[in-house]
Amino acid sequence: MKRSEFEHIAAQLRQKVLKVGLQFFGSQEDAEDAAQETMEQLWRYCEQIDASRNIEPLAIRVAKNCCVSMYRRNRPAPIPTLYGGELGSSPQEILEAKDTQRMLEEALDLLKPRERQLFEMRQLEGLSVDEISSETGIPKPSITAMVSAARKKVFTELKKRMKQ
Amino acid sequence: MKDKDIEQLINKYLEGETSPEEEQELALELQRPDIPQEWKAIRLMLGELTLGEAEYDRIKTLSNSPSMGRTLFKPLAIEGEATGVFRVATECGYGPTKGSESPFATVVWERIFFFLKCITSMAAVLLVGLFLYQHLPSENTNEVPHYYTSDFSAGNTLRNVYTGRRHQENHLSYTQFKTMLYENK
Repeated sequence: MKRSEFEHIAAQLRQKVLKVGLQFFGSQEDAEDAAQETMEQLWRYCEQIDASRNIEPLAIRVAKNCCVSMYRRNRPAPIPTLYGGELGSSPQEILEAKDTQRMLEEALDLLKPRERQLFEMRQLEGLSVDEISSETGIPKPSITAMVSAARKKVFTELKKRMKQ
Repeated sequence: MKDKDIEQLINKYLEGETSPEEEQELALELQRPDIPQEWKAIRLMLGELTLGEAEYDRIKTLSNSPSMGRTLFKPLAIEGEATGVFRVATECGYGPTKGSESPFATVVWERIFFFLKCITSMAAVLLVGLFLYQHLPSENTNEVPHYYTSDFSAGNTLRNVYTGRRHQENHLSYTQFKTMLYENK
């Protein structure tokens, strides 16, 4: 998606994103901050987004992540995660995260274009099989089979790379 | 969730049969510190967005619970004595200890101190009002000492009568005062 295309839909998108923030924080001020952060993130990566696809589900997922990040930042004490550990960002953890991200990207490069598209629609945009089917016109069993094949390929590749 | 259940969910995920909600649940479960290498690969595949979305729903559900209401995030905006007292209490070991508290326990403490602050303020206002009521002079300046209206025969001394009359000097004319003196009222 080109920047000019993004600018064209930005105002409408912002309203949807703002709604997500309002539902989470219950205050207009915090929701505005979350919406601003989300729009910045989307602006930064908009050239990597497929223009033919609906950007709204992705924007809502990014908005939810921004809300959670803001919530963690604003707490006076560190928030323990579900299993007791704290969410840290030490240099070692950042390095590990970059390394694993690179591994995932390399594994995704091995997928066929159609498989990758469906994989990303499920993982990035969080769409259900029904939604993907209505958007792409592919029958649901075929989507399930292709997504399964893509996931197994990526999983096998990641396991191989993690052992090295 | 038990390891066996997680394993089943992972298999379902690899078969492409999980719903987005199940994937969110799986992402949360895979945040455990010590998980097998294979599970780490699944965690990586599920990605940060799925985890973030799961966290979003979890926090939102907790904040909408009846005990917490919609005020979960409001105490953060209260920058007053209540928050200060809360911090001091926490540092002195009276509040929830660092690391062990849940975000919701923190909110409960902040609310308790906020209500205590309100009650203390009201008590302070009442005490000041009581003090003023007791110590300020009465506004009724026309009040006359009881001996003023009595004559000498009632047992009052000349000083009593004179003092009582002086009390009303500002309010009586000379003629009135003279008449009263002669009539011994």
